[in-house]
Amino acid sequence: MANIIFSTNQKHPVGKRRCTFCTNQIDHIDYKDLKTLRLFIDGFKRIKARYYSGVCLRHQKALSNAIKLSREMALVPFVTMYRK
Amino acid sequence: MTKATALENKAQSNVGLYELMIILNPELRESEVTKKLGEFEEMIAKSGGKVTSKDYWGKRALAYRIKRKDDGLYMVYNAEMPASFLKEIKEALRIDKEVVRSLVIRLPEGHVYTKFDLTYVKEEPRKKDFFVKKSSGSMANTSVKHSGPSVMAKPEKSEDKGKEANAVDLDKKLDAMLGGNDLKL
Ligand SMILES: [Zn+2]
Repeated sequence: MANIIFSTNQKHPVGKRRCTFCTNQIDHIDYKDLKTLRLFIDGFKRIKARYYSGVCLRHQKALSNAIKLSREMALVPFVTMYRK
Repeated sequence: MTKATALENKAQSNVGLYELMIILNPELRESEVTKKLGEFEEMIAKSGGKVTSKDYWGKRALAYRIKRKDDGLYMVYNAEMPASFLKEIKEALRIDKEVVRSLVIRLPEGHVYTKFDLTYVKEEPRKKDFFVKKSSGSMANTSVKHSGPSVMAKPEKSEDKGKEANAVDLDKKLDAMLGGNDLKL
């Protein structure tokens, strides 16, 4: 899981996009793996839609759980800006 | 036989692999941190569990403020614990005043703890620099752009600049010249 192969899938049509977790054979998505999670987080720190990232439903669910856990532990922000 | 094996299986299934993540108060001293973590380890050991891996991240910036704190001391344990003990340790973590936040999750069987690069997180303060750099870059670009169109008239401009640079000297010279002229006239 060290160096995952990631493509934005943007060049391919919707039907031909491939899930990055399936191609890298990742079963357990770790909430501490911020380098991977960051690829699926928006500029506004929202979870990217499956339509854009090409992640399959099974992995998207696991991914969203992982991102939510890391948000809870303050590893990833909920929102872009917060006022002190 | 089958009943016995089933019971055994049940007993085995009660002990599971869990991950504890504890965020401690960043104002604690090192000795206090070791003491605090020692307490939790003792609790786990007393319950009949065992810690399989420890990972101390140290002080780390939080993504958002929690209990008026911007940093936290992160500690991650992987431990085999009986399921009945979970309630107890969760309560202990919740009550503790030095624990900013905690997490207990079940891990899949045969999970091996992996250390991840958390270096990118240090990049986050770069954002401020990034904007500064960007603005300075744009400034540089604008200056370049200004010089761009004036490439045709570059020698003139450079001469002007030279004149401006030596404006004081030139003024002095001119004054002297003019003065001289005036005197001559
Ligand atoms: Zn997948």
